[in-house]
Amino acid sequence: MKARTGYSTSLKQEFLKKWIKGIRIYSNFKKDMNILERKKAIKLSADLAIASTRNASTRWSRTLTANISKNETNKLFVEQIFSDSEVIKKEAPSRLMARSNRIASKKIWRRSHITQIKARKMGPYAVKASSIAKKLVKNRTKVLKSLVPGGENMDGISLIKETLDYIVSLRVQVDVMRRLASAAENSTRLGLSSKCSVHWLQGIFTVLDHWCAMVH
Amino acid sequence: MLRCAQSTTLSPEKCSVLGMDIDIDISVLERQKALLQRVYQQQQVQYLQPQEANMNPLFHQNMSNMLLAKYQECLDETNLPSFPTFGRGFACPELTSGSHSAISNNSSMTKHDHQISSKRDRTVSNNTRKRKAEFDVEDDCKDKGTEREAGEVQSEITVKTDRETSTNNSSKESVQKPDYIHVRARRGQATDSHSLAERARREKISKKMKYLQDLVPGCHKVTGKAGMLDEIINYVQSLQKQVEFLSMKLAALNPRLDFSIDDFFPKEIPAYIASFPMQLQVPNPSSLQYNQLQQGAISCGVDIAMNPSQLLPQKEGSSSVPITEVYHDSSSGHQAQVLPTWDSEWQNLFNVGFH
Repeated sequence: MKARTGYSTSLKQEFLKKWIKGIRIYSNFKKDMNILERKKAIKLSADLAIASTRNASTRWSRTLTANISKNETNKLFVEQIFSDSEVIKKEAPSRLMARSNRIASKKIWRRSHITQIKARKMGPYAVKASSIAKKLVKNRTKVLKSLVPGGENMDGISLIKETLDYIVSLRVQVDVMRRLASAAENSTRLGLSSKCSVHWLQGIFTVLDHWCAMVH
Repeated sequence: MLRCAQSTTLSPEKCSVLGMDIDIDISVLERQKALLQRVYQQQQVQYLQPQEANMNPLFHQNMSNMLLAKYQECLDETNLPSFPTFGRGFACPELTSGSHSAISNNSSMTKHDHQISSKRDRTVSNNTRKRKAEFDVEDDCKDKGTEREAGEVQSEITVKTDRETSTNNSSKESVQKPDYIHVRARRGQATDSHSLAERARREKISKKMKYLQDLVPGCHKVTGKAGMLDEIINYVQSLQKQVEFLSMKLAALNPRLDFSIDDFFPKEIPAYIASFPMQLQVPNPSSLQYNQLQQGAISCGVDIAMNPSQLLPQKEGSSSVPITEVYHDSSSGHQAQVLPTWDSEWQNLFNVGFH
């Protein structure tokens, strides 16, 4: 349990560092942004930071970085942040198409063949129930594939693996952002400057770390 | 042999290997035992430190190569390469049960197995950064190891030892040798190769779903794939929406986006400042200069901040607690004002010191 909390806190710190770095670069890049641009900058840096904590070892992180780099204005920004080449290009589109076609045709064959076998083995009602269940699962996996970045051409097992990793990273992201937001909010409420609020946030981190260390 | 004839995908040498394994399983085992003992004695003579793990380097290499191949296979999660192997595994259950008893006597091999597998587990876990994936891989490979017939392992070793004795650097080649997943059929279940493959796949999926159940809150009550997938989808969507919302909130709260990385890790600065007594006389630069230094010192700041982040978990926390207490107690602003200037001085010194 101790190893787990140590890992997540180091992950949070790494994410925080990269995120702040990204925000600074963005703000130097473009002065005087309105609120929507600021929000976009924050979200972009957060996504890039959380994707880079994986060092391009997972599909979703690679896809996320690639999607962000697609936009031309963001490309410079991305390259500036990550001077060491962590950005790996996605597979060539032709190969991707061939793969998805192959998968699709295989699935069609499988579906027709297996329903035939099942209809012979089980009764007609059982076939219907299982096919309904399968349809439900299929629809939901489709939705999940649309949610997880880069999930389109993955099979079930790797999809679940990627989802696991993606959920962990999202949780880290949300946790850090929430703490920062609450610290900033409290600072404005108490009338302190933003730097102090950040100290307060840092204090929260360390206090929580030591509490965790004491508990475990 | 029959299976070999049926399948067209198998290459001739694979076919011969399979045939050999079916026919001469037990004799192979006897030969292997003798070979092991011979090699073991040889190694004992040659190497005067008979440590547990280094006892049999040749054997170790074989085992490690084979296990490496198997672990790589676990990592890659490729689909099962050749279906006829399942039929083979089940066509002769009596043979394998016999081999099981024979192997159980050979305790040294299993001990190596565990040691080497634990070593491989560690290297594998060091390589993969995904936490859950580490659990997955270890569980997968351990399960496969227990399910796997020892007879197959033995027969593969004989093939490998023959190869190893012939060539020295065949470690890479033996890794590319395709591995077969051996799954024992349960009572009353079909032994058709397709259904076996499907069952293995389904077990993998269910194992991963179990991990997801731990991760996603509120997933314990739901059973079945469809319900759990529903929960997972809701959770991922909610997390993504939270990210959007929080980034909007931060944008609203912070009109200038003036975060600074030095703000987050200021605590270890005194240690570094203490090592630079000469720079203490540096006059305070203007705010403009500070910003320029700040820009250039981001990389330095990140490097320095890296060390604090490593030191933080081990720190006593005595220095951090007073700061938080200050903030908790302070309803007045003056205490808070003292600290930012103190911090900005530190930052100036720190920036200058590292240029």
